[in-house]
Amino acid sequence: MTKFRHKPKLPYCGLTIVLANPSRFDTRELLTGNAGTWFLDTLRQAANGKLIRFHCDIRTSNTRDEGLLEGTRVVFCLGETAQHEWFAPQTELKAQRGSPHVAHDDIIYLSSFTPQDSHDFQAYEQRLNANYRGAHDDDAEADDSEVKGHKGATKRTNYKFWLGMDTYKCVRLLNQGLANTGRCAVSVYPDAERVVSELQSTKNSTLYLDIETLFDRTLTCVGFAFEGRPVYVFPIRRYHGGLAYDVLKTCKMMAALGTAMRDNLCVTHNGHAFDWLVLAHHYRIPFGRRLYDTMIAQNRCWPEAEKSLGHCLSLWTDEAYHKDDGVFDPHNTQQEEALWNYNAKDVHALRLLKAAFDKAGVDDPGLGASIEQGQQMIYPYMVAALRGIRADAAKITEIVTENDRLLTQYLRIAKVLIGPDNYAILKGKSEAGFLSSNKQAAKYFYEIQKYKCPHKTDTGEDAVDVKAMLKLAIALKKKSIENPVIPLRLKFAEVKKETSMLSNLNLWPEKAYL
Amino acid sequence: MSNSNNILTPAPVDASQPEQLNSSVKLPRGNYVVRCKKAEFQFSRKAGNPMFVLTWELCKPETVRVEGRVYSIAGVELRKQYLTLTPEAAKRTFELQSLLGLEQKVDLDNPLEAANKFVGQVANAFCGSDEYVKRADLTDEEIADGKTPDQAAPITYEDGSPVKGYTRELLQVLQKSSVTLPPLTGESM
Repeated sequence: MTKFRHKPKLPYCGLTIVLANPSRFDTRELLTGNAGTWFLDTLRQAANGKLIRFHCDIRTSNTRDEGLLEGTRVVFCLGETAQHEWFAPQTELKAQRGSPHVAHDDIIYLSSFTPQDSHDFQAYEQRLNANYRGAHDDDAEADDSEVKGHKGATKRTNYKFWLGMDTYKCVRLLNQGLANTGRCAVSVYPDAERVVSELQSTKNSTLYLDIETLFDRTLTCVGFAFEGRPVYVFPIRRYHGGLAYDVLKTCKMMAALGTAMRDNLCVTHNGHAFDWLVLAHHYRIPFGRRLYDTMIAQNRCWPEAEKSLGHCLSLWTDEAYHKDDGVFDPHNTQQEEALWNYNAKDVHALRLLKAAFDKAGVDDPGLGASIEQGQQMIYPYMVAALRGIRADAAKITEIVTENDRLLTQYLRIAKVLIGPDNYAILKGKSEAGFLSSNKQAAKYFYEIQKYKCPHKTDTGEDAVDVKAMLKLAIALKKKSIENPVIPLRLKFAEVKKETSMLSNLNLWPEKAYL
Repeated sequence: MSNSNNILTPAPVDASQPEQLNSSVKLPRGNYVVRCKKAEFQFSRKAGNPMFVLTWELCKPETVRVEGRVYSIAGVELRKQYLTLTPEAAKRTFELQSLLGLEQKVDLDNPLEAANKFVGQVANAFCGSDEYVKRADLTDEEIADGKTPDQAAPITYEDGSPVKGYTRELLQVLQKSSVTLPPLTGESM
């Protein structure tokens, strides 16, 4: 592969940029084309216009044997190959990116996507660049999806966002170094009495909580920490399947956990869909009224970005990547210790994230109000999910009955509209077949009527979903054709969906709500 | 029978609205108010000399009349201005700095400081067009013969006359302008 290296022509700023490979546009120098220019512009903006390419050592990954320049403080590796060759050979780029790694010589390594990959909608680099030697798991998926009829575009949508954010982080690390978050004291497998005391004696504080479970939601350990206090991790189930503490102690700790959740602001990541839900539904540990979910906060800050704890950590903190440390179904003491430490790191991470979101909320009061509003929704939604919704049961029955009558009429109308001959051809086992079966609808519209199918499904078949029906209606309208079966089918689907939703509604366990 | 909705026809031209200036229209020589939109620091590709690359845009007048037609020129970028920063050639940079009321100094270890000061500067300038002949791409044989792009065959009309184009050029910055313009939006330097 071609070797490129552009040593700094202006005083070296301490930043080395390593690219996995020259992009397909980099014929004479690295970081050219729209993507390269965008990256350099972002770098410059991140440094308030004080950093340009001539301040940096820009090179391809295969120049590692030439060593680093004196004064190097940050190495920014772009592309999976660069990351693997320079500092984190075992971790996938999508997992490691954005999380700094400090080497023994105190140089900070950071990785992200290549500028070209973050601009391409498809894996063009992989296919068109003779110098390409990286491997992305999702590239293969994108290629497969192309075969199936997808364009595979959305897979890469956020690459540019993450590269941009990582570039800002890189410049911050270059100028300020790693943020000092202080050391986190951790107490793993403490005495049950200590756990109970800590949980019961703390009121009106913030409780950071994270649980780990097996796939069947069996609790393996619980990690928690109060503001300014050590992180505690108490195991529930040991690697051999037995309880970590005796039953009575376990029950006392769980009861104390419920008390602590009631008396404090409880912070989790994705607790509304996992931690609080599992504790309440499987273990009957109620959550309190003051709840804070960092996943919701992240969604309010960056609605279209990924929301996992790993992504949040890379975006808001300088913590090292730890999401591959945990062994979720441990089979020996070493593995369970790894799990407990992983759990403790998650709890510590929650504390950092909450502080970051609070600061963002103060800096932007509108955002702060939005985050607050999102958090207020957790309790009512969770109660509704677990207990049901207060609704007028009689009214629901009335709507469902009316909808059933409507659906019967729609079927009669459909029979008349498509005619007895076509109906005989299409008729399946069910009476509602034509209006509810995609296969029969496709046959009617695209084989019998010979309309042009607007688009294909993921599996390459003719689509008859709502979008396809609307597109078809517009296309026919342009040809002054109006087929009433199309709106009829849409109406049928709408009414059927409403009926199904109302029939399966989890109602509050009272006779009726008036 | 074809549907009338599928037939495209040219939209009627609104003579009261100016057209956008394009490369086939010559910008009349004259005085214009221009603004520095972008200032970059680069090294020249051939000699490796440090240089500033300034991008100026036309601001006023907002329209010009060329051969009876009105063209909108506000925001049109002029050909980039290259200011070499060698001891022999830096005089041009200092002159420009002086005209714009900036400190006559460039720190080659930190050239961005001087470059950033150009951004947003508004000046009265003498501008015009440079005529060029549009040419075809070089063939493989011509490349093998060592021909350069400006030696490629001109593109001509049927009568043999060449197809011409015009680049908009800043010929001379005259003085700092007293005209006040709205601030630059988006990224600049």
